[in-house]
Amino acid sequence: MNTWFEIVLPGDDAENLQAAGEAALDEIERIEKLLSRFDPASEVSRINRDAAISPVLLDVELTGILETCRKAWLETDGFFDIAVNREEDANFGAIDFDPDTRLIFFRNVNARLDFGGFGKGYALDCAARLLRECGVKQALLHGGTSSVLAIGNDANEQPWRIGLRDPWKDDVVLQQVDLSDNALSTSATGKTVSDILDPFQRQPLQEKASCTVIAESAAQAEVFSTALLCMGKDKVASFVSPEIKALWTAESPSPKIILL
Amino acid sequence: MKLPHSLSTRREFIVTAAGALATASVSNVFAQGAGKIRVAVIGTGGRGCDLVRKLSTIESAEIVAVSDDYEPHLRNGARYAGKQAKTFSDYRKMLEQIKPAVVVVAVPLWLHYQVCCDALDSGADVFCEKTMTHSIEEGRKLAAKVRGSKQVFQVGLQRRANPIYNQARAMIETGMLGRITAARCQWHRNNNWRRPVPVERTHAKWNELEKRLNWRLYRKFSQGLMAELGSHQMDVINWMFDAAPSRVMATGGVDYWRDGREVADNVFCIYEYTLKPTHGEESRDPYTVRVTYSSLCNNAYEGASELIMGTRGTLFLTDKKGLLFLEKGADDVGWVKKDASGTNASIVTSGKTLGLTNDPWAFRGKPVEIDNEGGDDTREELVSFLHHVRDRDLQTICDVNIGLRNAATILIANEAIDARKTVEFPRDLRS
Ligand SMILES: NC(=O)c1ccc[n+]([C@@H]2O[C@H](COP(=O)([O-])OP(=O)(O)OC[C@H]3O[C@@H](n4cnc5c(N)ncnc54)[C@H](O)[C@@H]3O)[C@@H](O)[C@H]2O)c1
Repeated sequence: MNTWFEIVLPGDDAENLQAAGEAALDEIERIEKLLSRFDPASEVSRINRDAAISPVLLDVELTGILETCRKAWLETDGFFDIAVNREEDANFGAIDFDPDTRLIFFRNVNARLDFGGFGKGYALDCAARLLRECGVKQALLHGGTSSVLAIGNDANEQPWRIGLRDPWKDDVVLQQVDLSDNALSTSATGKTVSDILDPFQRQPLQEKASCTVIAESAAQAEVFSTALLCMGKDKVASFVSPEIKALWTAESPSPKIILL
Repeated sequence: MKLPHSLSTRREFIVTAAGALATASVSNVFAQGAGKIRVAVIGTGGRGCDLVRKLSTIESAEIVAVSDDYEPHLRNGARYAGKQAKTFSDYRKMLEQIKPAVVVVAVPLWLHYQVCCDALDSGADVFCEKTMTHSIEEGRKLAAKVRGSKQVFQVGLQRRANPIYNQARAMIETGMLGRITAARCQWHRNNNWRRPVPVERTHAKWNELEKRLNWRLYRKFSQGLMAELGSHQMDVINWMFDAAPSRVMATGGVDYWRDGREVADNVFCIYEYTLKPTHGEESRDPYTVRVTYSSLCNNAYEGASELIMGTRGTLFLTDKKGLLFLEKGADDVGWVKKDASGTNASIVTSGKTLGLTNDPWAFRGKPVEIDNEGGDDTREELVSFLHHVRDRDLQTICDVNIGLRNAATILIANEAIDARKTVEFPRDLRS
């Protein structure tokens, strides 16, 4: 993920909170080691190396992750796709995956898994679960400021207040949103070349836009902010619900956030 | 060099698997194979869950049960093990009812001996996390028990399955470092080494839970930094030197994290090894090599690595990358120039006085990198262990003798810290 993660933990017992924070960061590191495409010792690297040759046995956790990602692929009409990559012609449709036997097989030798649009959010969810198990009732976690998760309220018992930046100008806050036991993810294009690919064009997204999704879990928020940005503003309406809120920022005439 | 089992057989596996695929349809390939090795894991805390996750990706294994006497950890173990695994809070009941073929032991150090003995008595082959035992005495007894059985036993020092360390061992064996003259290793971190306690300090159960979760910090349960971190690195030294140390002097204390812990938060050791010259040296007399080891909990600058130094080169080792630096010979230091015939050297007076500098970088050439191009060493050590189980091969990559030697190596350092004196390595364990 190569991302800076931070955790805010209000409370009095500094010793225990430090231990909890360290444990949560260890958990994030564990997820990185599981999902990283760049670490040759990660599970995803093992799959990417071997799954086009013969079926690879997944652990229970990765099986669950793949089920979630397959569901998201279907739900978003293919716009969320962990198997798309710029160089090669492959998508999730080229992947055989059986949750019962926990086996995965790539029917297309060019297929490769990339959890770039999922891992940060998932890591935050795992860290949050661990913090809750440690008895933590208030916390704010973020990964690279684009994925944010809130446990409970802040130290003043108010929802955690998050500023949404102008995606193309540093330090200009366009809007505030409140989080409490939910999460947010922002995907944007147009500052540098986007690393989000349009799965149907297999090209980086061209239009300058930003999509923020607020959802129950950080993984869900990340899945939808990625997918909705890919499909474009007009298609988004059918995906929003009381559980999933989407905010859209377009550049012209001046950056403005609209709730979809 | 004898490669760990898994590393030497993996290539074959890929070839045969690819061949098989040409004829089998995908659905056949997905059919579950029979004849899996029935594995149970005892202690599903941090490390136990790591092992469960890795085991669940190994085709030859089936996790039949997990056991932990702390409910939240048992729940975690069950989650990662999958639905087929039975759960037990009492591991003895599990051994009795499930009769697993293999038991993986990942309980706190002070329980290794008892749990391993019970697992062996149940007839199982045993994989025990490092450090093998909490005392040398327990180690001796466990080793005798394993030697007297036909059961496969391995200690979880996973660097033994790491390609980088295996490559390093081969480089040393072939003499690439020249004569080994020194080594230095350290594991430095900057945190309080505590696990969080899930209840408030005022809670009636706080004390009990704190001790259980933070067993590492208390002498009765733990052997501190030397056992938890030092064991990995001192095993690397014993392995690379193919020897046990002869003695150690050491010091350490609780000097920063004065929070009630009993184990040192910083330790410094000097080990002496007696090595026999092996590579093209005139004298065959044994000679002494000193190794320093330190571990800190309040500065992470140096991280974790081992440095093996020889007259011709230096190996810098970590589990992700190794670097080989060749010593600069007189002919490439830059101030010596060969004459036209290439035989007689003459000093070039206008050159830089590189030879006199203390700048460490002046002596380090561009290193040769040793990469780990794939594979997680924890998974690899388990794959290797299961191969040995299947083949009834008692000579695992980290057998009970290596485990005992490793335990004694780190335990004499703690003894030296307590007694404030030099401690000899037990004579009976030297060879
Ligand atoms: N090889 C490595 O890199 C590595 C890394 C971490 C830990 N370890 C080793 O693994 C072992 C466990 O360490 P950890 O960090 O997982 O500690 P941990 O405290 O997280 O886990 C130990 C588990 O054992 C359980 N346990 C205690 N008594 C038990 C009993 N009678 N029956 C069943 N379960 C019992 C505890 O409830 C706990 O869940 C230690 O020996 C440690 O040195 C090895």
